[in-house]
Amino acid sequence: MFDFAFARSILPELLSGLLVTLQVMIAGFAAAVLTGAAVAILRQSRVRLLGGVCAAYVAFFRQTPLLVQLYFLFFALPLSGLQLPAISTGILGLALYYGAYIAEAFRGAIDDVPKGQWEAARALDLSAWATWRRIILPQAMKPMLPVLGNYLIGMFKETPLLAVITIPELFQAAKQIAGVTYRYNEPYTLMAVLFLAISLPTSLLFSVLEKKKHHG
Amino acid sequence: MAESTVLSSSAPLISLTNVVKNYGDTRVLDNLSLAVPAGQKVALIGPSGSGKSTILRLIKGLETATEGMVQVNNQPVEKERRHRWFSHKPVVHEVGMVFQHFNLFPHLTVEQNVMEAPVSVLRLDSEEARARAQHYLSLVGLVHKAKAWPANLSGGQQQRVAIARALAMHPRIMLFDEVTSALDPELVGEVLQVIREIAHGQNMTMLLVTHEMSFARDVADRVLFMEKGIIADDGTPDEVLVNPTNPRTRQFLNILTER
Repeated sequence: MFDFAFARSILPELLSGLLVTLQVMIAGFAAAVLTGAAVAILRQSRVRLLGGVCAAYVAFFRQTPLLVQLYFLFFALPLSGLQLPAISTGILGLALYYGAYIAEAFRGAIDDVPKGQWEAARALDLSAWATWRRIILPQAMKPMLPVLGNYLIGMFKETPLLAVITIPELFQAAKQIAGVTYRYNEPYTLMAVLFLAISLPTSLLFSVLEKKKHHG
Repeated sequence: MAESTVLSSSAPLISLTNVVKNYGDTRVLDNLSLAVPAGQKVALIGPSGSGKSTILRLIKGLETATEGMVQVNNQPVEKERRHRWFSHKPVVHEVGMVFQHFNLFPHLTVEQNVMEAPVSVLRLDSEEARARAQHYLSLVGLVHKAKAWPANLSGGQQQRVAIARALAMHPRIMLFDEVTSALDPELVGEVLQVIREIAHGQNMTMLLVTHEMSFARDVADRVLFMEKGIIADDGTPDEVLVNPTNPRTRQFLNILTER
């Protein structure tokens, strides 16, 4: 039986878990997009070493599980002296993992910008920075929008992994309530509903944005 | 010599000295030298693959010479070509270029296309840049399209915007690289007319790669016939186009008129 009174009583705790989830997700995603864009740009660099380092980064973070990376960042890294709070570690982990995927997607989108755009920018004597920021990236962003939407939702759905590094996000909150009260129906149902309540509107938002972009 | 050349009016504005350009195993320019004094209008004609466009691309710094030296205003282009990451101070913009495929920025309006470089390179504030854009868009007859997107313009209109965009940087040299080759025949005239007006109205140095012989005769005061990476013929329009003495030039012109 689903007890609505009990459900209401645990809702505040779940919502504060959701708040942590959202904070980590937004910070992690912003950092992942910046990382991805930076890595994609650096990979185009004429400096071989820089390109190599970026390629190695992408390969490493795409070819190992996120869970393993989180464990490494949280438990192994402090042994070498770098002690970060759990939340920061979580944000860093998401940023590095998704940054690698986003970098690859960005690289494709950048390659799709016609060569003539570079030449036109060059002919007008735009600096490299202005060329990237004003000409290339805005055009690369257009096909990136749906891709980023997918990664954002994907990231949101992976946030329960952060429970293993003690971050009190939504999944952790629900588990704790269940563990203390031995009632599973209400916390887990509410948790599922809350996840859906975020991811569904987000995906709708991105499809609306995408349509808007098509007309603009 | 270095000190005197700055003021000397006889020094060429553009000079290529013993330039070789290879693409892989293909030699596109073969030990070519060329001097263009300020204010001269030069038409480059010749079969495709003869190296005409490569000359323009070297002058703009889109390519580097395999051997030899390319100078604009006594400065080696290679040095300028080193891409600056940021530009904190205004850059001296000497060379403007218009391409066969227009290359307008599709995510910017017509007006923004013209304003972009004056703001970002010359550091004009947006009001000055907008006034400049208005001026050059009216020069090419497109001021009413200022708020339009490039995709909604005809090819001829896009190319006129591209010309306005290049002119808004106040270059001393304008390079036109087959600017009508990608256009439908009925749109060629409006673009050529704009270039004609610029050529007759301003003391600008111009290099034009073109297949329009009557236009070349009309606009240029010097015509170069290029073949296999060398300048095979060099003279006034009358000498090269009207009464060609060089048999290869004559043959090329005959093929064109037979088409």
